[in-house]
Amino acid sequence: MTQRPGEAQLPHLFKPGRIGKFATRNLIKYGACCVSNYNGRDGTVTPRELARMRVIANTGCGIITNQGAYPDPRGEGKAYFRQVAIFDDRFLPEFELIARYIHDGGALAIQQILHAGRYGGIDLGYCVQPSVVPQTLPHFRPPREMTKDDIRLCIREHAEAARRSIKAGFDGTEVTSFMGYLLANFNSKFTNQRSDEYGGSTRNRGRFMRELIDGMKQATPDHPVIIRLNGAELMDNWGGNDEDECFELMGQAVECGVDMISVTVGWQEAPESSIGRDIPPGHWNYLAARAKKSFPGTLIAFGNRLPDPGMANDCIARGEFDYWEVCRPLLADPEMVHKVAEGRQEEVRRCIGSLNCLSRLFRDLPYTCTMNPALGHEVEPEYAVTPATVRKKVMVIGAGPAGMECALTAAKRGHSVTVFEKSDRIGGSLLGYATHDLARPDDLLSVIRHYEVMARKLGVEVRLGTEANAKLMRSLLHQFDACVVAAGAGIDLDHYDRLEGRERLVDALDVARGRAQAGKRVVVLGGGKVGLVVAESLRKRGAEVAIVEEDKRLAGDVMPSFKWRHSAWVEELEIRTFLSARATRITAEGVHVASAKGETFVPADTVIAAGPRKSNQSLFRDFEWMIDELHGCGDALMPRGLDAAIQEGYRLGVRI
Amino acid sequence: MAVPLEVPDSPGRAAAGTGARRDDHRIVEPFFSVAAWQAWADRHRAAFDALAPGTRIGQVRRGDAARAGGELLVIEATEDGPRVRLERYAGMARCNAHLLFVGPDAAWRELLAAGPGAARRLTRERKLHLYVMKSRTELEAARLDEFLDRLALVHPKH
Repeated sequence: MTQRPGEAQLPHLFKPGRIGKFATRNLIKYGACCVSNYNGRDGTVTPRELARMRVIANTGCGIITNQGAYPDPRGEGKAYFRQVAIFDDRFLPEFELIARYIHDGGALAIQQILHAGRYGGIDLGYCVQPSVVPQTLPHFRPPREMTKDDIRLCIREHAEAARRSIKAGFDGTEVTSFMGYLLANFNSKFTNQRSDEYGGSTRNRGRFMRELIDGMKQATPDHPVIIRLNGAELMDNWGGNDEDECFELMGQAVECGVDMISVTVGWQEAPESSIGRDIPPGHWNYLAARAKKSFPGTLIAFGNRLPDPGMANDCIARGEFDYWEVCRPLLADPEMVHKVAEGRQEEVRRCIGSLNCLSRLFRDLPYTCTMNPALGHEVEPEYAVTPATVRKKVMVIGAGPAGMECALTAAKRGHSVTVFEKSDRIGGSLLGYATHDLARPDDLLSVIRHYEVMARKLGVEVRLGTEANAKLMRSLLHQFDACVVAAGAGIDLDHYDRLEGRERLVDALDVARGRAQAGKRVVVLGGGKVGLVVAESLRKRGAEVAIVEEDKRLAGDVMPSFKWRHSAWVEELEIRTFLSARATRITAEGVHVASAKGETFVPADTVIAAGPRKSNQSLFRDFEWMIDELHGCGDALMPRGLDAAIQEGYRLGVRI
Repeated sequence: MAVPLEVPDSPGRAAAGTGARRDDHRIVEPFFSVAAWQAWADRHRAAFDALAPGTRIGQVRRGDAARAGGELLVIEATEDGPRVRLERYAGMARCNAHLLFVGPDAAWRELLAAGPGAARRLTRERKLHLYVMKSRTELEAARLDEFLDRLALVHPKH
C-alpha cells in the first residue's frame, strides 16, 4: 500500500509493529477505555453495540481492543449497568462477529476481560475485594472479602474467558486493573490488607496477578496476554501504592511473560483528576517512559491524557513507549487516524476531555460524546449523514456550536449553507467561555477552530458582523428555502426587575466577550456555569470576587463530571459565596445580600448579572411568514450547554 | 465524661480531649473526650438536625484505623439532638456507622476547635478520610446524601 502523506510526517506512529507472532500495521492501539453501556442487562451484545464496533473496527488502528467483558456468572465483576459478559459460550456468536469486523478492518483483535472488584457487583448488594475496605464513594457497593476458594474460582473464570475469546476469533486478551478494578485491588496495599499469602508484601500482593497471568497464558498459550497496570494509583493519600511499588508490580508481570503492559493512571475514587480537561496533555508520559526504561524487553502501550498523534509519534521516536493507546479521541472522531494519515490533521475533531462519556456511565446511561453526536446511534439510519433528496438553500442564524454544527452537517449532505453571525467571530457563547476557562482553554478553542476549518473546506459561507433581523430577511426574501435560528441565549435581565439599583448591573456575557470591563471588587449574581467561569477568571486576574446564588448550591447547570472542579476552584481561589441568598439592593458602594442568616453588605464596584439565561427567540416570530421552513436548535430553544448545542445542531443538520 | 479504654499510646495523645499522657500499653484516658465532643455537637446542633434519627457518624484516629483497634467516637442523631459516645474500634468490617472519618490527631483538634463545617474543608484537603459504611440507599435514608454531594464524594472525578 502506498504511503499516505500524513504517514510520512508521523513515521514512527505509522510504522508496522509486532506483538508475539502477530504483525500490526501501525503502532496505534484502540484502547478499551470504558464500556459503552449499549448492551443487554444480561450481558448480551446488542445490534447497537455491533453497529458501533463496525465503526471502531474501521478506525485504522493496528490493534483494536474490544470493551471489557465480565468473566463471572454471578456478576461480581460487572461494573456497568449494560456491560457485556463472556462467562458462557452462549455469548460467542456476537464476539465472533466483533472479531471478524476488527479483522476485516485490518487490525489485530484483542478482547479485554474486566472484573471490576471493588467497583463491581452493580446488580448485587455487594462487591468483592481482597479485604473489607469500605468505599469512599457511595456509588459503589459495600465490600465482601474473597476467600481463597473465591480467588481460585476467579482465576479459573478469567482463564476460561480468555480461552473463549480466542475461540471467538480474537488474537489475544487483555486483563485490566484500570481504574482500580479487581487486579488493582489485590496489587494495592490500600485495598489488600490480607494476612495470608495474597497480602502483605508487594510480592504477596502481586501473587493474584501472577496466578492470573499464568492461568490466562496456560489457557491461551499461543496468543498474547496484555495487562493494564497503574504507573500511579493516585491513592497514596489513602495508603495505596506509591509509584515505586507500582513499578515493582509491573516487574512481576514482566517476570510472568506478559506480552504488553499498558500503563495507566488513577483509580475511580482518586481524589484528583487523571484524564480530565484540567490535566495538560503529556502530563503522565513520564510513567510510560519509566516503564519502557525499566522493562525494555516488554512492549509498553500508553495513552492517558495523550490525545495528540504528533505528540504520540514523538514519544515513540524517543523510545518512551511502543504503542500509542487511544480511545476517547477516537470516540470524538472515528476518522482521526485516517485523517492524520492522509495529512488532513486540521480536520480532526478533538476530544475536549469533557468526560461526558464517563459522567453518563456512572449514571447508568449509555455513553455519548459531546463532540460526536453520532456515537451510539450508528445503528440508526436517521443519524447518518446521507445526501439530501432535495438540495436546499439554508440560512443559519448564529455561528455558535449549534448553528455551526447544523451548517456543516447540512453542507455535507449537499445543501448550500450560509451562516449569519452578528459578532466578528465564529464561536458564540463558547468563545467567551473558552476565553475565561481555567482548565484548558485550548480544548474549547479547538472546537471553534474546527468549525472555521470545516466551514472553509465545505464551502459554507459565514457572514460575520451581520445581524439577522426582519429587515435583513426582507432583503433576502425568496433567496433561501430554510432558516435555522441558532441565536443562542442571553442573561435574563428581566429576572432582576425588582432589584433596586438594577441599572448598575453588567451582563456576564458582555464581560466574558470583553465588551464590558469589571472592576477590582466584583459581585457575581448567579453561581451557575456562566457566573462561575466569569468569577473564577476575574479572581484569577486579581479581583476580589463574591458569588451570590439563589439555589442552595453552586454549579447547578454544570456537567456532573465538572461540578467538583468548580467547587474546588472556588475554594482554592477563596471566592466568597452566599448560597440560598439573593441581592436586595445595589448601590455605588456594593450589594446588599439577603439570606436566612440575615442581610450582609458586600462592597463592590462591579455587579455582574449571571443568573438565569433566556433563549433568543424573537426571530421565530419575525421570520414565521417570511420563509418556507423555519427551524431552531441549541440554546435558542432552551439554554443548556455545549453538549446539547452540538447534538441538536447535528440532528437538525441530518434531517433538514 | 471520660470513658477509660485500653488503647496503645501515641504521640500527641490528649490534645483533642482531656486525657493525660501515659506510657505504653495500659489503661489510659481516651483521646476523644466525650464531654468535649458532646459540647461541640450541642453547640452545632443545627448541623445534625437534618439527619435521620439513628444516623451514626464515626471518628477514628489514623493510627487506630491502621491497626484496626482503638477508640471509635460516635455521633448519633436522635430525636433530642446529637448524642456522643465512645465505643471500641475493632476494624472497619465491624464498625457500626454510616460514615467513618479517619484522620490524624491534628485534624481532630482542628475540627473540635472549629465546627462541623470544617469537616468539609478537612476532607477536601485530604486531612480527613471519609469512608461510606452503608449502601447509597441507606445513606439517602439517613439524609446524608446531600452532605456527600456537596463534598463531590458520590461519583468518580477522573
